[in-house]
Amino acid sequence: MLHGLRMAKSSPALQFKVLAECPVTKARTSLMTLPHGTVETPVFMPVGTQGTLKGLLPEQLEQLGCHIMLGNTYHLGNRPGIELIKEAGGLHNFMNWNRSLLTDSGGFQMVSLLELAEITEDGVKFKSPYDGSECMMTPEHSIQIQNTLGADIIMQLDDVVSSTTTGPRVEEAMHRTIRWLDRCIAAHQNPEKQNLFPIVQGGLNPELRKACAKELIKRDTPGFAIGGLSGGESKDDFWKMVHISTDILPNHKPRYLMGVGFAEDLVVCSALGCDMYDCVFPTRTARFGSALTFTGQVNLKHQKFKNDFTPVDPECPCSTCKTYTKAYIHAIATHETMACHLLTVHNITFQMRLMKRIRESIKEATFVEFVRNFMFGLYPSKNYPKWSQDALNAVGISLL
Amino acid sequence: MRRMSNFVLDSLATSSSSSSRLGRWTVSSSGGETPLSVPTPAFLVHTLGGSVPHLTADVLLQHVFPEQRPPLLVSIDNCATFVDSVAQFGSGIAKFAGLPQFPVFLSPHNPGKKVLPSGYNIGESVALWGRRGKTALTVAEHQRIVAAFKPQFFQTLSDYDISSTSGLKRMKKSTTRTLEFLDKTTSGSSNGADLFATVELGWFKVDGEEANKTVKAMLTNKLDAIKGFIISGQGLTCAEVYLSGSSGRMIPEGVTLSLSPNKTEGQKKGPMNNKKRTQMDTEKKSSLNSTPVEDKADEDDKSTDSTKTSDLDYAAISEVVALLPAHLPRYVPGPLSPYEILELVLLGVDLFDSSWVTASADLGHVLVLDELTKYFPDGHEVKINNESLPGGKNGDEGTNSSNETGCTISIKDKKYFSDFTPLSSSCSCYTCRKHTKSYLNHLYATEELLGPVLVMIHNLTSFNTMMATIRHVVKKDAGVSSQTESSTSSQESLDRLKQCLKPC
Ligand SMILES: [Zn+2]
Ligand SMILES: [Zn+2]
Repeated sequence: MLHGLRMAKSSPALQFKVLAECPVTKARTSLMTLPHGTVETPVFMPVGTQGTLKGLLPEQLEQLGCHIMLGNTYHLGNRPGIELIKEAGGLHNFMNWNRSLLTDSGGFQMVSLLELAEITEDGVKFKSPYDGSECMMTPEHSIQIQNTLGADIIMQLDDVVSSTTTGPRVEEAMHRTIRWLDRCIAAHQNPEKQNLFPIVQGGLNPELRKACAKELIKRDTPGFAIGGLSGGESKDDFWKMVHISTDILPNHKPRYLMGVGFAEDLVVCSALGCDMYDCVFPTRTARFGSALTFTGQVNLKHQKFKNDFTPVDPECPCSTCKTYTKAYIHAIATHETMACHLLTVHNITFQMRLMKRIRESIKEATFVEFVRNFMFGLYPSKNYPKWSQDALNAVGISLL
Repeated sequence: MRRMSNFVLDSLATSSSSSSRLGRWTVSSSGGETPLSVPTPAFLVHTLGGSVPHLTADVLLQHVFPEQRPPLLVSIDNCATFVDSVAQFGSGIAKFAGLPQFPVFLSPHNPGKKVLPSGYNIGESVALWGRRGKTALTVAEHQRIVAAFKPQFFQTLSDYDISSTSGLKRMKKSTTRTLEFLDKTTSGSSNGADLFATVELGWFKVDGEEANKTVKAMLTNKLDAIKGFIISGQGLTCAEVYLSGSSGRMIPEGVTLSLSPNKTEGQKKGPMNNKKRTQMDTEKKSSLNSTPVEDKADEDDKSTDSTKTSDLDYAAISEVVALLPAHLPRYVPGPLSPYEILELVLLGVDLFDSSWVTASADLGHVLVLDELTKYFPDGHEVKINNESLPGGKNGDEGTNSSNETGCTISIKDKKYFSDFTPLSSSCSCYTCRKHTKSYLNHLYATEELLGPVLVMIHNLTSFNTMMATIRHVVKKDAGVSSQTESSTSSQESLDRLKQCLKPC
């Protein structure tokens, strides 16, 4: 209740109610109420880059238990363009998705997709991929676009550097990210309907991460994101940066770990206290014929499934597992879009089931046991990766 | 062997203007439960690899066929790579492909691919052209596949390598071999499936007399074994089946278009056809990531001649139909447009397939039946006062797309970029209830997989509506209708229906 009252003051568009906390780790399960509905966290948010999730009907996504998904500002800004979405009455209307949405700032895509993007104090300077003209994406511009898209959660424009970059550039980016946050907050037109999240940067430098997080929490934003990770750094560095960040970020606000979606990472990072995740991995891997299960990934293109007449996962409640065999998905895997749809349905279901198990075990105070069982399922010979052992040890779970 | 199907004609048309007929095709489902009754004229649901393209079983059952169970058209060529898996599975292709509720019609060739290369039907086999190139199919192998796939119906093999430019020698080879295939097939086990005998349209293009003799031989010797006929143009170039001159009508991908629309009938079949095929196969392969092909909308729009309704060789088909016994169903496979289907119904054809719908979804072509549903809501007719028949040329109809007649619009067209109306104002399918043209235009522009999913739902639903309306009008034409809606004559209804389905 106290949380609720406090949040009501700082954000009319987001209520974050912690339902239960793991007595051992930093894991917690919460209800995050947004203008388009309540989301149970920890939550995985599928990525619908261009206003659609890889061939699934919005209705199917709802049936799979998805309450929040992502849209990419950069892509939507290019096609169909912000004017059209404005005319349609926002992204929710345009794609007919009535549950919650989160949009990114567009900065990451620009830096990673456009070779010539250059970061100045003003913003991200880039050449238009269409007519070659020079364009500038400023923090104000990003927020203006996201205000038009109308997602429940919007992200600040941050100065993204590769997670393997070292030296003064990392520090510069961290400070600039904070300056840009202030410009984003000032530019934000709909705080009563949309929640602006800042992003903790600071590369792989613990001191910079701490400094950044401490600076950000001075701004009373409705939630926080941890960015600049999951980009090729060692897992050893990865978990430490998450751990440091969640230590500083306040307990009564949601923490969004950007770009993370492997099952093992989701479990470990939930133990470290993260609440929200997004990743293209489950849908992308579906396109390559790969199914996610609690015992690891299964590539159905493999010859051994030719005559395997069992479902991908007999326990899975999804329509794919209830109707189709591995042999059939194998038969059409390389050439029919159907195979992609079938595996997308299954993989999104898998992500939803995994997050539900995390949430329920936290509620039932069996999270530690869940983590052990989950890890054992993935590594039956207990050859656990060192990083996940270390990370879990740091929050009081010993796997061996 | 238990009898799988039964075709009963409800009526024979008495109208002098048409040979159309209504029927009821009783089909036992794969699961062997209560037999399904399919009212004809009907269409078989086109599949690729055993699935309705782009639609998973749950979407198909929820949004396209919540109650109906029309037979699926499964083709061996696009299932060739997993025949052994189906055999080992042991419960047939429908169950293997997640659609056990549906009966199956098994054909050797995908009707969506009209032009099969020439020169490969040798020895005791015919050539199938699948994703991995050519497979030689003998009758024995065909029967093994029928046994494994457990269809309710199957099409016999034929030597399709025959065109109007074939010599008499090639033609005789084709008829002789086709009769041999039929002979061998009927002397083996039918595997409990009903046999549809193949009649090649190409025979009639070379030598009508010889063609006649061949069909009569089938009827004389094998009538007991035959449960239906397929009038196939498989070996003909598209120009031969469809084109009688230049045409700009919208033709599904890789089917007839661009073969050489400017040439006249009887053009030489060249190596280009083979090339075209290979290209098609390549496109199919890459379609996992991006289904739609390049935007031809503008081109289509410019060249569409609204006065032209079809280039199908109705005379030849009519000639074949005249030879066939009335009590058996007749199926003309291929990507036929709604208007062509209507014309063929009037010639007495009973069965079609939805390969046109498949091709249209890939191209982003959307069937709009607003006029049709205005005059024939729920397949029944209403009198609309103070309205003339929907015109052929709608030059002055303005911007409201709901004025378009029974035609196809290209959703990729720029004019739909900011059109927030549904695909069809009169359609209540999932797509039309939930999404706008603008959103679909965006999905096709970005080559997102949801585009063809939504267009398939709409087009299949519309195809179904069209078929129901055709049955209604045929019923009236045949004088079966007991209703008192005699304000319009059957001829008027028919003319109206034709206008509604005319390509715009
Ligand atoms: Zn599943
Ligand atoms: Zn519709």
